[in-house]
Amino acid sequence: MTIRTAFEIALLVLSLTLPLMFATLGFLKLSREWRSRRYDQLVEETRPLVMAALDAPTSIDLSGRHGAAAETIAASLLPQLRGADRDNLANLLEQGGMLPQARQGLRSRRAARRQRSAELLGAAGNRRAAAGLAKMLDDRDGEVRQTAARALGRIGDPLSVPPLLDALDRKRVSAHTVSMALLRIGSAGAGELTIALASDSPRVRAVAADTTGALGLIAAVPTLEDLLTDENHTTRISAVRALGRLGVPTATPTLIRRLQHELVVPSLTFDDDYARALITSLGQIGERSAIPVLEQSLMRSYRLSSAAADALSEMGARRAQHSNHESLDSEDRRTSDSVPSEMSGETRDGVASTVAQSRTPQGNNLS
Amino acid sequence: MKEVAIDLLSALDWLVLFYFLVLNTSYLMLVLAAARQAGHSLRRGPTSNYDDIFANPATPAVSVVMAAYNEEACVVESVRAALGLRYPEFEVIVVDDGSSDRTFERLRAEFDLAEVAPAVDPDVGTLGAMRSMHASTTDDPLVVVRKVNVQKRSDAINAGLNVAQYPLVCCVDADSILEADALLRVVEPFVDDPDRVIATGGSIRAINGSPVYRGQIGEPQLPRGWLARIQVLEYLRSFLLGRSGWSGFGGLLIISGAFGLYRRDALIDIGGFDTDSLAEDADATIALHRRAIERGDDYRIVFVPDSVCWTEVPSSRSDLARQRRRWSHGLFQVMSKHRRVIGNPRYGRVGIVAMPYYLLFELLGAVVELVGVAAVVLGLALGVVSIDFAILFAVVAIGFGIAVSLSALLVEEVIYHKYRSWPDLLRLVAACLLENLGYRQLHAWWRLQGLADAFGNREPEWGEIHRAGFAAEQPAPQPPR
Repeated sequence: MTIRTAFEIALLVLSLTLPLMFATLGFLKLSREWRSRRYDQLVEETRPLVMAALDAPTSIDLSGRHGAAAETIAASLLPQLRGADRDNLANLLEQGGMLPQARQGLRSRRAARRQRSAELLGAAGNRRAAAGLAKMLDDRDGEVRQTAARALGRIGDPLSVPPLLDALDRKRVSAHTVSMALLRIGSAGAGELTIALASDSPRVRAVAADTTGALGLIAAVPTLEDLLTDENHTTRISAVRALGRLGVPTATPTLIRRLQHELVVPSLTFDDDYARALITSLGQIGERSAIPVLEQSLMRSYRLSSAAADALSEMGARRAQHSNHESLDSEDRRTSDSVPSEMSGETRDGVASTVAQSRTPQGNNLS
Repeated sequence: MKEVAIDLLSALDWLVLFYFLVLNTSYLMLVLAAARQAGHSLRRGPTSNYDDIFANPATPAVSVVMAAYNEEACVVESVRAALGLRYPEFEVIVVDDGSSDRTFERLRAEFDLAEVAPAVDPDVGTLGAMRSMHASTTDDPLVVVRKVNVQKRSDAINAGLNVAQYPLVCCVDADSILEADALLRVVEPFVDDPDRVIATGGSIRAINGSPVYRGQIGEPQLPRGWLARIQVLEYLRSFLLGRSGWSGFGGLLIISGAFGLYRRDALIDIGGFDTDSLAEDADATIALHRRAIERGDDYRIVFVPDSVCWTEVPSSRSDLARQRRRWSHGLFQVMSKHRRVIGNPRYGRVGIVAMPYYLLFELLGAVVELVGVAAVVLGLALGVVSIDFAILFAVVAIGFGIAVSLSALLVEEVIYHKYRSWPDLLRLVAACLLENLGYRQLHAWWRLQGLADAFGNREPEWGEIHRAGFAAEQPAPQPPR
């Protein structure tokens, strides 16, 4: 074959392909617009049906194309709803057959269908699906396992706590996903969580510590204090964070001791993240006895001094609030008034400027 | 003599034809791989994971580091966009890299900055000294670092890295706007696979012409000029679909400096961004690959296509030429610095496939492209190539280019659908044609100049890229879907 022939063949292929591509592009655009208009129209027609279902799901007739559209709209609304509204819409989907189909879908051979089914069942809070979803924590597809764990959290059945922790231990599901699922299940799973604090698995201990802190399980404080010297770095930090969130003053002496220890260890073994977590937690608890060690931290690296400034700022702000002088707006928090009065004069002035850096995390919104 | 010339030119033609075939086939394969991944996400349906990431107290906090040099036209909008990100806990660190315009003054006025004591123990070295540090006295988690300019963006990012407090560091440009949930999306691989993921990158799109209101981008629109419109297409093909394809293959070599998220400890481990490099983003990504592979780590570097950063692209020819010359020069530096990796089986797919590909097609592509054109012209001059063959050659080369761009446009229309109007679609189709009729050849010339600069060890031209700022007139924009 000559070079010319090769080019001629290429030209022939291109002359067939290019018009086809142009036509496909136009067709796709037209078809998208048509589908979009049709969907908008259906939504318009069926919205009253769905809204009515929020009050009385049994009165809705789901036959015909409007029924199918109502189901689709209801399913898309579910993740945003809670309580009776969610239950009513879930009932509507149960009657219409969408949830039974989704439960069937958990056993589908196609991973995409298993995942979509798990997502819907979780959004609907469908307890009947909990056992099937727990089995899916061992699914061969990683995304399906993650979705199943999230769904179990949304369903909120405390019986799901052991399989979730087991999946975490075997690295089948990420710590982040399990911790969120446990948070959604809430204090109903407290017993299992307390046991998990003593687990052999550092992953499980860390997640259990974080969750007990976020759930406010005060009874876990002694165990969390023990975990401050855990051999695992993540677990230690989780325990510190948990104690800070719990805000129990009795934990302060232990946290101070750990921070003092960190501040004198040789630089090679110094754990910056751990020390920062200790400082932050002391600030959250807000006991005056922590002020000297926080002042000491102000003289260290930027990252530590900044965390200490934030902690002192938070303590000052809380004290000012507590004294009921006047409500503190965000600007006031950064003035010298928000620095604890127990601090030495020189440090107080220094911190007053550094405090301006105090970072205000955006509030977490557990919905 | 003429027979020898004919033989030589014929061999060269075959070589060029083979090269173009492999190049365009690889482009098409990358586009198809990206389409396959995007299709996979579509089939899986909407996920509640982003809500969970937002609500979970265990979500890692992020330090957003933004380097700014003479960005008075857009810095306030960019910072506002960063502060408005939907994310549970983060800080924004703006590094004012010795701006000579009113970049700092605009920030100080807008966010009521107060000077704080800059007692920083650097984790990575910096060349330009820190002049001062300022924190917002409004309720915003904002820190501004002022430093001496040494004409190296990487130095500014390193200064921000030293101040960053959180375990993840997100690098963004001050002329860019992140979509509100961009951080939630780009952090997802870190929370789903925290033991392995060390870096993620989002997609970059051109913001020119799109309305911005209070740091939020409205309904995306195509830029007015054809130069910027062609770049929209180029970014779509190379920065979105190309990187998506490489990421799926495990060979992502570039996380754009305009939007990348890294584990802070991993960046510190490689010594931060290389201040000698003109392509510090690619250099850092390859250094992260190398470090992880050499230590035998099981790691991932992931591209997240639906996490979007909108950035202002050069709209004048001189600005664009300067940018592309610098990119080409930078790529040469990176390939030269990491030459041990090229073709080295020890580095797996990165060494055997990705690095050789970048060397042959991204770095040397301009040379081959222009050699091909020169061969045809020479052939015509010597009378060994007929005019109809030269036309055939040109039509096939251009046709292939158009087909690749159209395939990228098809994926955009099916999966992402950012530009919604018919006129914008038609303009993009026209850009597919124009890109291959002049722009591509010009681009190859600029890349060649960049290579010549690199070989000649010449200092790159920096110069400022003219910023028009963001169009802010739209009162109530629709969020992009």
